[in-house]
Amino acid sequence: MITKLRKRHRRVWLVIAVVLPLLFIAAYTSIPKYQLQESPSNTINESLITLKFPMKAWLTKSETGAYHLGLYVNEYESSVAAQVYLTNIELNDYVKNGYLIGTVNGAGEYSFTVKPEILEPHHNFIVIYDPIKQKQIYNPIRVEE
Amino acid sequence: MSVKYVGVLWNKQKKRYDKTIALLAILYLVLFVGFNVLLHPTISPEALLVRSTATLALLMLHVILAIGPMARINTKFLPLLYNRRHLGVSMFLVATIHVVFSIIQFHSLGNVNAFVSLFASNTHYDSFVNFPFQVLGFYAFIIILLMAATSHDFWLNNLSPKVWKSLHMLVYVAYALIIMHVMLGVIQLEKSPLLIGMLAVGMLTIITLHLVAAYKTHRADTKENIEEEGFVFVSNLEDIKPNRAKVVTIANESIAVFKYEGKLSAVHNACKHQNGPLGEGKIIDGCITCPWHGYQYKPNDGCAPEPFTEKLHTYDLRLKEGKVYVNPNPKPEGTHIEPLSYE
Repeated sequence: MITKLRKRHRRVWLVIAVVLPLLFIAAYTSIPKYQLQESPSNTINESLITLKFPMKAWLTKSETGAYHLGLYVNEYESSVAAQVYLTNIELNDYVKNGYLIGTVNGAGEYSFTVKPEILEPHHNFIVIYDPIKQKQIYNPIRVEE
Repeated sequence: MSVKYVGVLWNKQKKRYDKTIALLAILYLVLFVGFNVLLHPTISPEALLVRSTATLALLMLHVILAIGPMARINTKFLPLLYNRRHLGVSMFLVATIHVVFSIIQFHSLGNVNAFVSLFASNTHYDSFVNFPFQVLGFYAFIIILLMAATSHDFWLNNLSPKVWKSLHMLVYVAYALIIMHVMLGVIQLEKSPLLIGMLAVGMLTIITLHLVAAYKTHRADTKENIEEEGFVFVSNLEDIKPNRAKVVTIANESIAVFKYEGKLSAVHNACKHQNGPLGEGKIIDGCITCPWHGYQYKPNDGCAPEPFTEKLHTYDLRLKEGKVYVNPNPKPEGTHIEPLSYE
């Protein structure tokens, strides 16, 4: 490299060395602090094909006291792994004010372990959210108990 | 360096290098797919394809960006520099698979044109955290596409060195765009500490390597020159390795002094092709060989061997008590100077 080119490289990397780590940290610290649950177990349930509704959600309490949220996804048309929120639909911006409990990426039966502290009285709807297009995929589904 | 344009300039060494790249890439893809299928049995084939090619292209880009400074810090890495162009094109091919399948998977299912969907499905352009990260990746891909398209000898010869180098320096912009594409996109969704950690280590490694290499060359460029009767001290004779050079910068002009076959010769350090650092290259088959694209020059007159016509400035040398000195006033390009014998 000629001296002029080396100088240009040096200046470019001095700028990158300052700016890029700052942007990196800013992006890292802005990750939403949702309570992400463990990965869901997923098994395809052929009987669901007969369901008229694309989804069904319910909450159960096991003998050990742990809460499980079950979710049937019958007709999953999105190609992206969508986020599942437990929320109160009376709230403004109820997706972002809800609790992220996991992801779904296809038709099937999902089971999420839910921490008791997020089971607030009015958080009784499931919202499926496409994080790429930043929009809901289906209407909110009421959680049956 | 070739008399006529050929599709891909392969030789035995480059073929071995390209086979190694292909084998390592396949091994990576197999391992990535294998581990993901084991850890996430429900993952779809489309997601696997998009993610495996994304991470592979990112890994290759880090290797590509590390080669330049590594070769400047330690000449042992020069063979990697000679073959970097093929690695760049390979990375472009992997990135193309990622981009094409991402657009198909995320933007082609609706009734809107996929490219319109890419730019319009998320319009939070005024937000940092919700910024449409896919657009960043797309712009980075456009830069990489232009670089891959102009990497052929035809473009190397027909674009001026200034334009070609400026275009290819955009890879640093592409790198920054890709880092933010990952940080504002994948990381926000996946939250994997492993991915964040590896990305941070990769980014800091690349930045550190470039800064260390820049500091090393800057120190050499700004070193105070010792003059003696119009000649400037270059190096002790014993410190120049056989078939290699020592570079001295005098008044912003860089001169490479080569030691070969018991002789010394000095030429201007910038290759006529793309201003490559001749002093970081070596003597192959009696010719100075540029580390970037293999352009060659005879050390005694700075002329490229026939039928090529490129010529370099040459310089007078002096040897006194084991110390090598150069006259910084260049001779006209292609001027023959009798090599200085030291044996």
